[in-house]
Amino acid sequence: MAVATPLMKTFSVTDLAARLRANFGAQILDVSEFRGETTVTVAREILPDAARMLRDEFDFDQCVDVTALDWFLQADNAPNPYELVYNDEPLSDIEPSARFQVLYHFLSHAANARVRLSVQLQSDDAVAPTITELFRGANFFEREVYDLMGVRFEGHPFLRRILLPENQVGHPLRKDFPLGYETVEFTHNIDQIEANKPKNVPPPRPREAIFEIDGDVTEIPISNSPTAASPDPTSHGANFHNPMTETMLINMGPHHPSTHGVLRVGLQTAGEKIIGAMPDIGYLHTGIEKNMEYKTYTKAIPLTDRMDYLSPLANNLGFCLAVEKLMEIEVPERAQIIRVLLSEVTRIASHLVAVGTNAMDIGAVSMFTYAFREREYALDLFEMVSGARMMTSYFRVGGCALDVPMGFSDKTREFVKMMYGRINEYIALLDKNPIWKDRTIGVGAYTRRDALQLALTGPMLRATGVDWDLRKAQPYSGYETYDFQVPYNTQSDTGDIFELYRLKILEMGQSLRIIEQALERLRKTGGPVITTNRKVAPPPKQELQQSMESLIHHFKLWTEGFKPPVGFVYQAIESPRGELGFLISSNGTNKPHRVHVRTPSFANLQILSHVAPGYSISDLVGLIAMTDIVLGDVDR
Amino acid sequence: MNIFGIVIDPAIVNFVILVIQCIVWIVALLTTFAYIQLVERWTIAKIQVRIGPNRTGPRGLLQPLADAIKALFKEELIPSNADKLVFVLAPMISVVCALMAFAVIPVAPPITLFGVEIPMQIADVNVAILYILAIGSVSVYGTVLAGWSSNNKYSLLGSLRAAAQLISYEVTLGLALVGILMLTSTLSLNGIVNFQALNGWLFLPQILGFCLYIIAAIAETNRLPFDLPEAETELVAGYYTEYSSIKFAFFFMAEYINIITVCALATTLFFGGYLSPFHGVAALSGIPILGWDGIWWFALKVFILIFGFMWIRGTFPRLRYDQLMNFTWKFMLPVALLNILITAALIIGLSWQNGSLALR
Amino acid sequence: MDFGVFTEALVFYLFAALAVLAALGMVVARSPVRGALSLALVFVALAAMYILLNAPFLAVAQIMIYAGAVLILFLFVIMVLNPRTDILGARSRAQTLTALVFAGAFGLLMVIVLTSGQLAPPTGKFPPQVVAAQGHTEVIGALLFTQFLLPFEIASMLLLIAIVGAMVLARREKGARKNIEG
Repeated sequence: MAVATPLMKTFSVTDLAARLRANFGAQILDVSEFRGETTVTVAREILPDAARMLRDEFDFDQCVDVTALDWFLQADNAPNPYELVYNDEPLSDIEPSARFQVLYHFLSHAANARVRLSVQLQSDDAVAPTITELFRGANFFEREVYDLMGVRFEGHPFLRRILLPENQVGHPLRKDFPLGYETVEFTHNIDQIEANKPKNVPPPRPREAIFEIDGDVTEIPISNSPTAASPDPTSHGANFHNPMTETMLINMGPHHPSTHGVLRVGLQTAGEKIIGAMPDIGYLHTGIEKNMEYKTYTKAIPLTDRMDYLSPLANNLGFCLAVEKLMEIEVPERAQIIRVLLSEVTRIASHLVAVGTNAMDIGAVSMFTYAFREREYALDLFEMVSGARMMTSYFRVGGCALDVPMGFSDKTREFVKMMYGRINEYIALLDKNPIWKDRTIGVGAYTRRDALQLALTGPMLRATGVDWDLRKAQPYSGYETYDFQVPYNTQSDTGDIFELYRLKILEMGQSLRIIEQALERLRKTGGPVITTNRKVAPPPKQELQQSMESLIHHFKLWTEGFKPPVGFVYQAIESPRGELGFLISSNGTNKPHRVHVRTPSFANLQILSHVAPGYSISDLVGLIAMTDIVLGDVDR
Repeated sequence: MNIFGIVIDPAIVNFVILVIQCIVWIVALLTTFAYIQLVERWTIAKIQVRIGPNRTGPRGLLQPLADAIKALFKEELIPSNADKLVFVLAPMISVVCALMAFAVIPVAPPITLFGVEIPMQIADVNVAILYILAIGSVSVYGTVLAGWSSNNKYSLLGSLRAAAQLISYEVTLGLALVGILMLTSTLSLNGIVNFQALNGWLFLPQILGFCLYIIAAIAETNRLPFDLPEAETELVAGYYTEYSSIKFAFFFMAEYINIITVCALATTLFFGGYLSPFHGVAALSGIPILGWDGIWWFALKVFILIFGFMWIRGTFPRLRYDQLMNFTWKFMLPVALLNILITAALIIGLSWQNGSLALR
Repeated sequence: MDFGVFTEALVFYLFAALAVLAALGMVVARSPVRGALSLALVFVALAAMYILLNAPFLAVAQIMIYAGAVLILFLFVIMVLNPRTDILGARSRAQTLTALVFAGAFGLLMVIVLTSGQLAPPTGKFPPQVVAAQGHTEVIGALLFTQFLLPFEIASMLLLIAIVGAMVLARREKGARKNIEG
């Protein structure tokens, strides 16, 4: 691949299908197309071979996501999960023949194409071959599927729970997972409360985390006392004994000033030099994907705010675009302009936090306060449109909740004008600072190959010289009509902390350009800000008084919501952190059958254990800042 | 000696004066520490576009008092596996060393009270510079022992960093001052001030030495960009992670008193101590305050230097451990040696000019 | 009694007691860190003695040099010994016996010296009056750079050799670790 624009190869689905069929014959079970997305269903035996063929012959160089759907009995005859109890007996007598469907999303940067491989699995034999040997980035994705869906991946190097604690019973995203919720009791009678508690729930235990270090599986105690008992005294001396040959295990997080939330890293160090680093995540896992299955599509939007809480509008947008793709809804132009405008404000706000916290982790606290000062302006804008500074929930399926308020454009213009000056201040403060340069240039260097393999997206991919931005490559919301550039590393194919910082600063400048253009269009373009399709968006209030039909639409939408057609789509947007993808599967009811979020932070975090060895603890905090993770986005 | 008609042994009078002086010095230092900290919080807040403390008392002026009360009444925690004796001892060592170091610094010309001449320094020892360096090397104990006794890996890493850093920077700190000693040929701080009263401030001839001294002093006092032992984003709080209550405050006290001491030493060595900047200007020597030598000049110079420390803290990111070590051993040490050579050449050149090429 | 003489005696006995107690503590302490801490205390007390003997330069040099040395001792304890197993095991009977024999011999020596009347005031080229007139730092400096230049330089050579040796050893250890790592 060239350093500059990827070569646009001609690629056709029919060609791909024909080649696959020629190679694997009847093992290719089905090639289908839905909403412009190609799904190739293959027998699980040939999955790695098919993936290898995609990678080697069709240039699908990145496996952006792996997820699974559970086709347990749907709709009417499904058992009520609230009434299920924890037990080990399978409910296979009422199961469909192919219960699990594992989906692999591949992306080709050269051909600008996506293809999805699908594997169907029985519930009593939910085992798929791993593709981690072909795409190392599938590691976290497969672990997540195993953790939440219970599909095992044969040959996976470290198939353990990733989001949930090791002692969790069951796999929550399965449709037969007992929800076992505790009813709210209005009594002080302890016997009555006990009687109403869900049955067979395993007693709560302290969270355990298992780390793999040096090929050994080790548990690092949360205590950092050198005398805390190590579970296996022969594995690693958890102390300073003879530092020349032995190493020390350090538990960093989940309560640590620089892990950007509740990230926990198990460190194996020799003195201060890191030998192994392994992230332990899941401390902020709130089961958003599971929750969404029990909410109507509109009510699921507020849950998306809580994922990447530094760029809530990007999450709103991704979800709405996915539902719109599923339902084939046209969004009015004014709504599209507002979406683009606010997405770019979000990008600036998010990059400000990224740059500011990165500087703070390296010791420049002042830079952090400067970045947050500007971010306050961006949050003011969010507050103007949505009433909330962080949990915006502003976009709706089909458009936006409301039109922008009076004075919004002026305030935004002020923001843009101010930001141009402030960005130059940051550059003056950091770019010429020898200490900042010493601490960042060349630190945490990773190559383009690593980035593609480990499913890195967004600035982390662009820092290795790949000119790839979904706003340009697979535009949405009318990004193709805006004049902007995508900054990427033109000098080399290795990214480091400084390159990431530089790209974020440049991206902020480009976002300001987009905002200026959007403001100009907003002035010129009028019209509704939400689709006029009354099956999706409620009619305006004044119509309710005149039209019976509007009243019915209103009633149906607020009581029931809308019902998208059966099928699933994957829609990705360029969030500030990278590719934010929503896979939404509908079974024709008013609630999603399954929502899967491919979050950029989750995938980007994989680079940490790859780059950290060899650097010191001081650098590790910079490396965590480089990945720019948001723990809400990682854990969901 | 005769006071109010009673004959008193002058040794007793001196002893009583010394005790009173010690008390006054300690109270003054602790008050200065409290308000320097407040000023620092204001300054850093200003740099970081924040407001800073402004709620306690008028404009936040009672904040140090509130902090002290809070520190005293907070629960004191000692980790269960800590070495309790050493854990308690460590902050004491830090504070005592910090207070001791200030004893030799002359803050003003001697004053006469009730017919007794009182020197404005607690001890005029003629090895004052060495004394301060010696106390500095002992004060490392507080840091190292605190980290070791806390029984926490982060503390331990912090104290190991501190040990390596302070030992390394002490070398440069000492060598940076050799130029001064060569010029003044005395180790007594009074002697150095008197030398500057006659020959002008040593700041200009020793500009290299001054820069080295200030950098090493920032490292000695664990301030940004050299605050590795307590790097809060890396080691939580470094060697005092496990400390709470007044013991935690002791480390702060020690840190700020050390800052005052190094700045006071820099003032004394490079900026003429308590001398007026117009010392020797005949036209101004009669004007009160402006032309007089005194503690106000000393305080002003010290404060300007401390303000520089605050400014640096608000501006720079932190160095990494290996960069820090490379900086001192590969850059500062050779430059310090070069400074000694230059000074020697200067002295020889000057004495040649005077026609008296004779080693002292 | 004269106040000056009285205070001097008071300070002397105070620090003498401190030195003896700290020395005892160093021998008795079970934790190496506490032992090293007691050692440092002995040095401080001795430095106070030097000040009483009107030799402040020696006092300060004593603290400067030994403070660093004891710090290194601390680091050794931290690095080499396990934090909780650092309580040394019970001393053996042979150890106790040897210690007692040597302590007795030393005590005997002290008694002989004290009773033989060898403790006359010092005489020599630099009596207190000369030192006071020239300044003791100047006297020491002049002596070190003239009469005792050769021993002084030999001592610094020795230290240099030790430093180089330490570096060579550390380097080899590093190489060895690389081999272990892979």
